[in-house]
Amino acid sequence: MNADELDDRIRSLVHDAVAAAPAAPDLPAVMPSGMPVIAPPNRGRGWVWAGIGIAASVIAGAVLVMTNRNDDPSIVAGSTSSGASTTAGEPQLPWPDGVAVIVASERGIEKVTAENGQAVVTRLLDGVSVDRAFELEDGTIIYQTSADGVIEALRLGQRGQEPANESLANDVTLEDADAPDGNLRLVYRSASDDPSSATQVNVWFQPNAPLSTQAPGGFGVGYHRFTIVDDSSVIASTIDDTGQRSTFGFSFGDGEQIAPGFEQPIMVAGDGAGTYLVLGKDGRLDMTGTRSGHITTIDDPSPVIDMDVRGQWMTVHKGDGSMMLIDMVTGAPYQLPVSGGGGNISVSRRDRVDTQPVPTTVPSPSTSLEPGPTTTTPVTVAEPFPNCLTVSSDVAADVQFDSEFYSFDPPVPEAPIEVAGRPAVLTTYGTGFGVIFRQPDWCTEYGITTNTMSRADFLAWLGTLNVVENLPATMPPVLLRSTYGLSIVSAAGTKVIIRGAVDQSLLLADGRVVYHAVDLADVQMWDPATGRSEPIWAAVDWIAEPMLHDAFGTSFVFSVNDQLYSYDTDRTWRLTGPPTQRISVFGDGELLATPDAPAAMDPTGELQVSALPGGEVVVLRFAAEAILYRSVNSDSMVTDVDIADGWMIVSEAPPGDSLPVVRMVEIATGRELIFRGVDGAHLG
Amino acid sequence: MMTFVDDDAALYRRHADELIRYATALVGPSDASDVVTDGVLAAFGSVGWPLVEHRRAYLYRAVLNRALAVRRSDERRQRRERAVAVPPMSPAHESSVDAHRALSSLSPQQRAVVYLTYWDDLTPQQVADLLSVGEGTVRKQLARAREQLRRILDER
Repeated sequence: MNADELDDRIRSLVHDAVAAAPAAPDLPAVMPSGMPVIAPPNRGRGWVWAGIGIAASVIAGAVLVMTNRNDDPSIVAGSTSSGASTTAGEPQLPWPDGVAVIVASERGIEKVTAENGQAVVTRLLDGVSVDRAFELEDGTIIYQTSADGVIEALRLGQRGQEPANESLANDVTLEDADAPDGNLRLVYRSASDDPSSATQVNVWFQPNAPLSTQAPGGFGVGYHRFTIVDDSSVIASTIDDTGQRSTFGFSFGDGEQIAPGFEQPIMVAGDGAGTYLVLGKDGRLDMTGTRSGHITTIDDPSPVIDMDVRGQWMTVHKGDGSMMLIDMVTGAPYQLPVSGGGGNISVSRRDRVDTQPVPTTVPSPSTSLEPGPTTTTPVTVAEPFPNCLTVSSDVAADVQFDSEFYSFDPPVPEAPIEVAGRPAVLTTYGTGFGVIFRQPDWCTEYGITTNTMSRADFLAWLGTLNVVENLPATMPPVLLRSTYGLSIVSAAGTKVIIRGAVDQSLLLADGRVVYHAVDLADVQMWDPATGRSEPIWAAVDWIAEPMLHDAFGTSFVFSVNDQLYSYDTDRTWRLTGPPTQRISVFGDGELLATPDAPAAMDPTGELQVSALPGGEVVVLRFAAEAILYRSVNSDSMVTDVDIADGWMIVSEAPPGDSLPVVRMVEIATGRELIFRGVDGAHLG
Repeated sequence: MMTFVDDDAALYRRHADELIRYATALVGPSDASDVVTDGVLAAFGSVGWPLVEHRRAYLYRAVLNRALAVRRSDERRQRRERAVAVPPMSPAHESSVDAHRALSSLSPQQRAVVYLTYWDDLTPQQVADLLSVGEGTVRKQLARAREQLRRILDER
């Protein structure tokens, strides 16, 4: 059955199914009052911390409704149930994938994860009242019982199997640990940084009171540290220190002045990556450590009895039993489908480490990702071009098109290549219009009306197919420039602007592209509405200025011979200022960019990315005086940066003969897409 | 208690037929009416409803959510019923039963994508917009659904 026949059969199938549809029901004239639901998050530019306002209103206000459906006695250890049924039928935010919440309560321990966008509750420990619990990276649950304060570990097997509940050989009670008041709160865990040590993980506990002591230049946090030794069976009652500052790894002081917001903390939480939440007595909730910034102010912080943080996620537990998972990037709150019952909640990653954002590396065109096939099967594709081509398992297909079926003038709509949900590997790019893919049973869509081959052509340039397949839907369009050409890449597809070497380029906010091709005399502007380029400037020695082009809307700024010019929508250009080089930028008295180091601001004017000497790249949010992202790569020289829509671009020139690299970074998560062989890139 | 506003009633009348077809593709004809009723009522009754911009898409998601809940409920019920011998009912319409049997091999999300693609002739981007998912997700769901249906149809 070929693709067309399959389509016809499926269409007939759906027709038969729908033919049995009953008449549309009449709705009752009166309906019960609806349950409060979560407002859809602002997904636009909502990644900025302003989005936390949504969560803040939920934290502080009374709209939070927690249901307690999980008292279903049928839920037993190792079993699962859907918590989403609490508001069945209502559109709710899909429970986020890759994040888990551990709930300690008088019922025991439960874990909330996502399954097909639904919150699924798994009871891990039943019949034991638990005050506190959190999950280590290996899935071990560390918890503290309510009755006697004993700290134990729950070793989990595969999901669905009965978990083994191993009490530690040397149980440590709070009394053993000489805690001041016998009431500790778990705040921090980290992997050991000592490879020679048998220590696997450090577990930190914080006494509820006194939480902190004032000290010159900051405050101290009382804590105890326990250690799990290599067999994961013992938590040694090692008390490193109590009432000390700085040894905990963070300091909130700024010289002799305590940083605003940190004067009177009433609660601190931290994750293993060095991100800390600090809740002040005045309700101010700040983030510090690897990320910093003011998150929100909680009107009445006193009911907050617990909070936790892991990356972009935080949990809040209030005295009324309500619990909430909050995405600090979007501000989206997620109601937990269980209640606390006197315990606490903590946030962790779900099961697999690879669910965490990881850098995605695009290999160079000469790199083969998989063992190569021994033979190549020629597949000739003739018009009419099929919508789908299936190749038998584990062979290489040398796809040849018998005619040129696309053109750039005028352009036709593009569609992304689909590879049946699995990564395909492009091994070489042949002459003519042939490309060689290697992927078991792959199926790709292409055709005369979709201009997909230009995308494949571009993929050949990138050297791989799979990364583009996996591009996140949230990424903004990015303009990639190399000696091979200029293209706009997004999750929806790729548009080739021009083939050939380009040395200067800008992507404007309205989608237009300004560029200079090496073999053309004039600077060109490409218009997405027409798909055509036309000359706009005769000078070839202009320099794109991404620092400013976003600040002028649909205009853009460039410089020639150190003179700054702007090009406006009426197709005129004018001298805009005194002679300039790259612009020096100061923020809050700190030099953020030098004439030798590029910088750029996003179209909102709220964020700026700056490349500093030494390979450091910093993303600053002006309003909150917060540094949202910082990275250092001293091996490469940063040649250009740009920032928009929560993503930033860092173009780097590695030493030696290595290919230039463009890193596209999602600021909130640190997730990276790496494009090798790309000289520069811009966001709109 | 809250009553319909005229706009909601008109909105429902405008989309009722397409929603019932959609629900039929998702859960079959016997549960379709309940799924539509529950989903639409839940949508209209939510406090966020007045703020919803794309109400048709919201109703589609409400119906899909309700279909997911019905599916979970059905699975539990079917497990209970396996313990007793229940003679199968004679199908009133064999072809539609076959169709539903084939579609039931898909996940509800896949069914939604198949329906919107092959009945409403929507593009992947349009399906993605309607279901508030990524276009890539739609394409992958559709590709998997097509492969699954191909296997079923080949066996016939």
